[in-house]
Amino acid sequence: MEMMIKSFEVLMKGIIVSISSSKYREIAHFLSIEEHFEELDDTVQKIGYRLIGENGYYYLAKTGRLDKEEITNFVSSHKRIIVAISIIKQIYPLISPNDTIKQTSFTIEFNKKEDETLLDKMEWLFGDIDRKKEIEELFKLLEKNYILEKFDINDKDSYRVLNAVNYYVKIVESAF
Amino acid sequence: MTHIELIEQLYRYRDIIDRGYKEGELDSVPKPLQESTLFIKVGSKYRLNRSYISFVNFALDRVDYTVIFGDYEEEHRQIIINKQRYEDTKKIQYHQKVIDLINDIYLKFYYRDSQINSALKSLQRQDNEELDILIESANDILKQIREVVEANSKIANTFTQLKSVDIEFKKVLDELDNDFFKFLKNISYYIDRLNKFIIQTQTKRRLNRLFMQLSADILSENDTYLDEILMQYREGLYHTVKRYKNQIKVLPTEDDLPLLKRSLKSLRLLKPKREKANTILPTPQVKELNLIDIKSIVASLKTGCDDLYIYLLNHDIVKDENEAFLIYLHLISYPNVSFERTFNRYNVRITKWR
Repeated sequence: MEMMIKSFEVLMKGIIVSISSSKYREIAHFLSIEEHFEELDDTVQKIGYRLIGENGYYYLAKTGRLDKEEITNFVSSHKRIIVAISIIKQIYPLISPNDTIKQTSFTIEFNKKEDETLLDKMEWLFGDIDRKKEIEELFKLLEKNYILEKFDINDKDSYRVLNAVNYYVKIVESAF
Repeated sequence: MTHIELIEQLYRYRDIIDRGYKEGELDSVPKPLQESTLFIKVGSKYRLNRSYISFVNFALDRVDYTVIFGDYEEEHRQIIINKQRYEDTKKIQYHQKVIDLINDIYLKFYYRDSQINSALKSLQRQDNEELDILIESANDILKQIREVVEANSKIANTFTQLKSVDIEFKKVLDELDNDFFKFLKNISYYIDRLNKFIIQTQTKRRLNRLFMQLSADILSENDTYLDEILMQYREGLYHTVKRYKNQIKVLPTEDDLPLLKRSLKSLRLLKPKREKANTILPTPQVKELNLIDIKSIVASLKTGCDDLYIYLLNHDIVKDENEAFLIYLHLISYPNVSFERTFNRYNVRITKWR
């Protein structure tokens, strides 16, 4: 029961819980057990939510009407993250959940690429700001949206790729 | 030159040798390096001796994709000749020669095993390599491993014959049996790993292309199809919203907690306890191939089949997937097989039997 409540308390904050996350691994493992997943899903359905989980990530969803502004926010947020992930994939084509990315190495590879499409995407995402700031903002955006997680609180350079990236993979696959 | 003098030379010219290793070729090198054949003149440039590069790559676990797997043709030929001479004359020299050749082949097995392992590690380390090149390299290695499987099968037959020729040969081979078995087992593991790597990389390449296409469409605002998908499935996608200003408030709040606890309690009272899901994966068992009646499987294949692995999976005497894969590895060294470029649903290369 305690773990069930703990899971709900985390999920209710809009967090995508990934099995590769060091912060939420315990909850993700708990929910990866079919019995626990079904029990929490059955319960949250009674209060109007749904527990969604696949490919190592879990989140809460709720049905409801959206106004125009809400739709715009919802759609735009997804698009920004898809573009941000595509930048990461352009630099590291083999990137997978659990891999580690160093911001410094990423910056070196990014500069080496000299690819116009990368610059266009950065500008679309963050406007006209300097390169260093752009890359910092990119990592911040992906961290805020549970795609990347700081590897260690004392290491400001290393990030772990979380399973939540698979959520966007699924959307991209569905789009074609 | 003595060995210690060579080591000293390597140290004295370490910077030039390092440059030769990294850059591939140099315009000029000091005379001692030419005389010791550490550098060979190719056209107008100097290149490091291939044997030195192989040693360094091996020692540094940096075998590249062009790794030379090699075969045992020469050793195999020599073993057959010397075995025959020993049988004819019973001379100790031929006896010793056969034992030396067995040890040579053992070392080749050992180095090749390390080379393949390093090549696979090297492939998987290439996090910013073009995926097309990676897939091509992996396919090349897979092809070379297939040749290795054929060579292994030939050597295994010869070793079996040797055991019956002389008690000493049998003793030496029996001592090496475990290691040989380990190398053979590793081959099936490498093939499996390569097949998986190729499939995963192909999937990633497809996905990356979709990501690039979609983000290009987003930037050029030709993305109404994405809007439609997001709106169509929005009920399952609401997680992105947060309780910030101007954002959608569809997430639960603290007020929902007591409700959740009550629901959880009532649900537990009403529902019978489910069986706990078994999350422990079964450990694959390695089966001894000689316990399986290969002859009858080969006989049953006389009408041919379009996918050998699936044929084996459905065969009456094959117990499970592990056994099917072991037999598959054994049978692909037969001349009756031809490999397709595609893979079946078990990620095993489609192999026809004719």
